[in-house]
Order: sequence, then structure tokens, then C-alpha cells
Amino acid sequence: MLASTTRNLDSPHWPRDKERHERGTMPHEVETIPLMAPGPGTSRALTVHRFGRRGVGPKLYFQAALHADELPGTLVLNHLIGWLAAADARGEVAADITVLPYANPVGLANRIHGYHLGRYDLDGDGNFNRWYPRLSDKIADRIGNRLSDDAGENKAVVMAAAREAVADWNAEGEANVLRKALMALSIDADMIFDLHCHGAAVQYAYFPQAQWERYGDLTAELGCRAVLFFPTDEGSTFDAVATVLMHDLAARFPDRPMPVPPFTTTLELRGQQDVGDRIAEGDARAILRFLQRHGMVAGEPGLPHAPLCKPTPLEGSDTMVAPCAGVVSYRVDLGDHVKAGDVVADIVDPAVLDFAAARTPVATRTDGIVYGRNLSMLVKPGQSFAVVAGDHALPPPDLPVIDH
Amino acid sequence: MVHVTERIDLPTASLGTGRHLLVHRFGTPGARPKAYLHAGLHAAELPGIVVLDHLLDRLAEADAAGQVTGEIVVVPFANPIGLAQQVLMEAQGRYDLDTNRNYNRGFPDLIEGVLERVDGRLGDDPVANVATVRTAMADTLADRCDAREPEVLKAVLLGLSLDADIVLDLHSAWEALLHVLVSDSNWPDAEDLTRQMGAEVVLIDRGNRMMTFKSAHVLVWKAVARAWPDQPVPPGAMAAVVELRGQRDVDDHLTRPAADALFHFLQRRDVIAGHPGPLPPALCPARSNRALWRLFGETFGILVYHRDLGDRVTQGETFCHIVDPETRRRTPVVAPIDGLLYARRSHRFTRQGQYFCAIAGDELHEGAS
Repeated sequence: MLASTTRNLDSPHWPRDKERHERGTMPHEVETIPLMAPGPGTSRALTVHRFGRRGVGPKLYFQAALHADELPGTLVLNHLIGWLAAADARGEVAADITVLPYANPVGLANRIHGYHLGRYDLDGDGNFNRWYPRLSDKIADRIGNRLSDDAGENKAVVMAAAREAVADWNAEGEANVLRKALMALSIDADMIFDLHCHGAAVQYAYFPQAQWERYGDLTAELGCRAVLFFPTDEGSTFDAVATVLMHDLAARFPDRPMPVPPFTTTLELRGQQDVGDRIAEGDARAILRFLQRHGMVAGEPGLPHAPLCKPTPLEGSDTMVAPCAGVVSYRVDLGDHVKAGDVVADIVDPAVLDFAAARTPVATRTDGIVYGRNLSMLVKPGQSFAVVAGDHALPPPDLPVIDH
Repeated sequence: MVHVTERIDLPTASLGTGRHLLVHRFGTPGARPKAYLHAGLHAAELPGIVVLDHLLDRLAEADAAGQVTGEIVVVPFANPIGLAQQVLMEAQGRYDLDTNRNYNRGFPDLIEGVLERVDGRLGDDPVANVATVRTAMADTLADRCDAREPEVLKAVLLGLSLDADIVLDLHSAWEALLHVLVSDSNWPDAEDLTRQMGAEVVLIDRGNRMMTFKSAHVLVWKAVARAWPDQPVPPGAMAAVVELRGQRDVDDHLTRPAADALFHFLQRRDVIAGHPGPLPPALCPARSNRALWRLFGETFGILVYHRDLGDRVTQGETFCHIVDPETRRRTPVVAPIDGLLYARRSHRFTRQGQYFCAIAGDELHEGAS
């Protein structure tokens, strides 16, 4: 069992206006963080909005469009920053909130032949949501013997070491410089919200099981129809960076009270085409209600929403993989519930005359909801194209799912 | 006049990404002759960028000494978009990845607009006619509207250069001898440039309606002269493409002498005061670009050359083979003419129908000696 931090995230720390004025801090700050210039005449930068007071209250971090072709979250955060700025001006923000409405200028510029591609670095440095370095050992070395029996002091030591280790990472290439900048902004956060989306999907979220009782209401507010518990002690995705670190440090320093892993969630805000102010405003209101309910922003959130689903383990999610090249023809719609053995789709070779022979059926291995599909209906062998959330862990699919 | 630099920001084309050009200006604005030089329009063609880096030193020095009698505009990197294009560790500077277009095509075609605007305004004074056409070019350009990033860049580059007397577009091939491309309306006017640069091949063309940067400066003048044959309308710009060898030929021992040659050329053209020294002899006669033979792969395979860049080949000679590792067949590549192997793609694999090398044949430009 991990020791708890001294800070109770749920207790409000309302900054007093007097104190704010004495310190001379402006409520809402906008910061521009330059990234690597890929060549002369080109500059790239992150725009970072900050609300509340640095170091006062829990630190919250929001970003959207790390996969730069997943745009729903950009509009959600645009709504949110407007409300947060207004709340902050009234002194109603009780957390230290960082918001990046777009987290990936490199990927936003990835345009090829009139199409925008934002998932992978064009220069070969991989999936923008993978390959975050595991700096645990370097951070532990920096911590050395400076830990005490005071959890609060230990958290300060750990976070300082983490920030130093990130700053010390010699990131090479545009994608890694971006990864480093995002880590530097978020490595010491208490709550991390990474806004993504699927090709086409219902609303769903990757959620840390350990935080379900406390924060699971977020998924109900958002109307999630699937919630996937993901492991927080492994992986190189953005949402795992800070949690993996804390697991590693707790294992490295078992005799000291250590900070708990932060709450991190990846919100999958439906599909790539579900972008627009109307849908975004609803999602932003859901996040605001969550912040209000947990005492980070003043205001009355109203009654909690009823959950639409029960969480399921990520290992219970069945990924359909095409065994051959062809055109996908679905037999089920998004959001449908299927049974193990049900055919989800046929992969069609349209040049084959015989109707049945032209179709290669792909069945699911689990009972559950069809929560996501690809946007493109063209598949190649080994390509995943649909996912079904089931409630018991499955062995890996026969064909590996590779998304580096 | 002291050397000034100006930063031109291009409109934001992608969230979180900014683009700009840097423009160096020497001499007095409006003074003549005006020379415009840029490099790296094809962004992987780097030698010109280094040549201009050397030249900027000399120009700043000359300007500080009051020796720039005309006006000089230098854009050392003309294509920030292309310079930022890197795919899987390979620079891609020739085509725009998004719009799928060669950066040196599709410059604003000002011909129709200029013909309309100068109608009835040309007289017997060639100097006045040149000024009239330049004004019409600027007005036509100002009327154009395009938001796409590479097209905005092209309009900015043309806007910076369209009233220049001398326009030099510094390129390179994948691997090549130093060569110069000039349009017929600027020949033999440009002979001093080709001799000063030590060009080993000079190709005379008629301009390209696909609107290369050079052609955007050449075809307008030809069209006006053709439309009003009874009025004196000389070419307002001497525009040339200087191909500074191959993409990797950026080293100082090659680029500094090239910058010196450009400086002497600008002196000879009275843009900069001072004696340029004797004009070097021509290293080659001017060839018609009809003498340029571009070779395309007959099949796929690995190109194994038996002749080096700069070697002469004779008609019928097998100077290269294409090796197919599957059939183990060696397909001979036969020289179609007598000439000079002056340019090659550097990658030694060809597909069927793909350009891989060029031979400058010995057919001379009409009137060349």
C-alpha cells in the first residue's frame, strides 16, 4: 500500500484576492514555449494557458491533439479556457491549472498530398503518444538519500528531481523535443487529462483503476459508454509517464512515504469527425462540472450524472485485426453489443466473383460493446480496424497490434 | 546606406508553426541597377545558401565603405517551408509535400494582367517602357489572391524581385558540373555572368510556361515585346539560374570562390563600385537546351556508371549499366549523342521511366561560337 500525500486534492484552497494582489500575480497567464526549429525561417511553439496560482492547490494538466489529427479535444479546451479565465478573474479557481489547447504543432503541420496526418512523426520518431522516456532511475539517482519520513517533503524532493531530470534529457529531433516540453509541463501534475479521440467511436476513456472510486464520476459526466482500466505501472504513452515514475520510485524507496501516482486519464472524445462547438461545449461542461464537484473551481455542478457503463479492463478489449487486404464491411454499428463469436465485419476482396469467397469474416472473442472503428474502410493484413470492450482479460490476438 | 535586414513573416498556415523570410538589403532603395539574389528555392539545394552566406560578408563590407552604388536584395534561404520538410531522415526540398508541387513551378503568371495594363501606355522611350511594365507587373501581382502557403511564398519572392535589373536564382543539381540556365532573350547579355562563374555548361532556353521563378521574370518581357513589336521594350531583367554543382558541394573551397565571382559580376554590372578584374574566358560555348538530353530508366535497377561526371561520351557508347538483381541482366545505357555527362541524380537506383542523368549535347545555341 502506498503512503498518501499530505495534500488532500479534494479540499479547496481558495486563493484570497488580497493575497493574490499582494503577490502581484495575474490570474490568467498565457505562455509561449518555443519548440525545436526544424530549419531557418520556421518556428514552432506551444501556447500554454495557466489558471489559478502556481503551486497553490492541486496541479491539473490538460492537453488536446497530441495525436494532431484528433481534434475534438481542441474545441473542448477552447470552451474550457474561456470559462476558467472568467472563473479565475473572480478568484474562483482553487487549483494550479495548465491547459494546452493543442499539444502538437509538429503533427499539426504534417500535411501530405492534401491530407493531414498527425499520429506519427514524419521524420521517423514514431507515434507521438509513445516513446516517452522512463527517467525513473535518473530521478532516483538525483533523489539519493534526501528522502525523509515526511510525505510532503518527499513529494517536493521527488518533483524537483523529476523536473531536473526532464530538463536534463538530451532530446534529439522535433518529436522528442516536443515530448520533453510536454513532460516538463506535466511531470509534477496531480491530475493529467490527455484529450484524444478514435477514428470513429462512442465516448470512452482510459482510466486508472486505483482512482475509480474517487474520480470515476468524470466518465459519467462525459457520458462514456466504455471505460478501460489501463495499467499505470508500465508503458511509454503520455498518460503513463508520471504514474510509471511514481510506481518505480515507490519500489526503489520502499521504506519512505512516497507520493501516490497522479490521476491520469486519456479521454477518447468519440471519433475524428465528431468535432464542433455543439458537441465540444457539452464535453467541456462535463469537465467543468467535474472540477466543481471536486472543489477545484467554484460553482454548483448539480446532481451527478448516472454512469452509462461499467468499467472493463484494457486487457479485455478485443482488437479486430484484418488477416488480409480488402474493404471492410461492418455487420454491426458503433455502440452495438456483440457476443463472443459474432462476426463484426467482413474483409472483402471485391474482385472475387463468388460472394462468399470474396468475404473473410472477422469475429470477436468477447461479449461487449463495439466502441471504436477505423475511419478508413480500407485495410491491409495485420491492420486493426475495430475494438470491442469485454469484461474479462483476453490473451493477445493471434495477429499482433503494432502502433509504434 | 547601411546594410539592413528585414524579416518577412508569412501568414500562419499551421497552428503553432511560424514561417519567415530574412531579406538583406544593401545600397540605396530605388538606386539602379538593382540586383536580386536568392538561394534554396529547391530547399535541398544547399550550395547557393552557403555562397550567399559568403557573399553577405563581402556585400556588408562594400556597403559600409559606400561602394554599393546600386541596390542589392539578398534572400539567403528562399524556402523555409521546404527547409523544414524532412521525411524519415531524408530532406525533401524539391516538392511541397502538401500541395504536391515543385517549388520552382507555378510562380504567378503576370502576362495577361501586364498586357492589359500596358495597352496604350508604351512609347518610344525604352527606359520609360521598362518602368511602365514593372509597374504593371507589381499591380498585377498585387491583384492576385492565394492563401496556400507555398503560393504565398512564391508571390512574396516575386514581389521582392520583379523590379530588379538582375535576378539570380541559385540552385544545384543532385550532382553536377557548375552550369547556368538563361533564356534566349537574355543571351548573350548574360555571357559575363556565365564566364565569371566558370560555367562548364550554358543552356539557352525559351522560358517555361510552367512558370519557373526565372520564367516569371522572362516571359512577361517577351510577351510585351511580341505584342508591341514597334515599341522598344528590352527585357527589364537579366534572369538566370545558376546551378552550383551538386547538393553536397557546399564546402568553402567551392562556395567562397563562387561568392567572389558573384561579387565581381555585380561590380562589372555597376551595382558595386570597383574593378572586377579581367573577365575570365568562356569554358564552353552556349548550348541550346534542345541539346540537353535527359536519360530515363529503360527498366528498374541499380545504375553502375563507367563514366564520371564531367566526362565526354560519344554517341553509341555504353557509359552505364542498369543492374537487375533478380534477372541478373545488365541493361546497357547508350549515349544518344556526343556530349558531356554533366548532371546525375545521386541515388543510384532507377525505376522504369525515371530521370537519372543528363548529357549536354554538342548542338550549339544559334549564333554561339
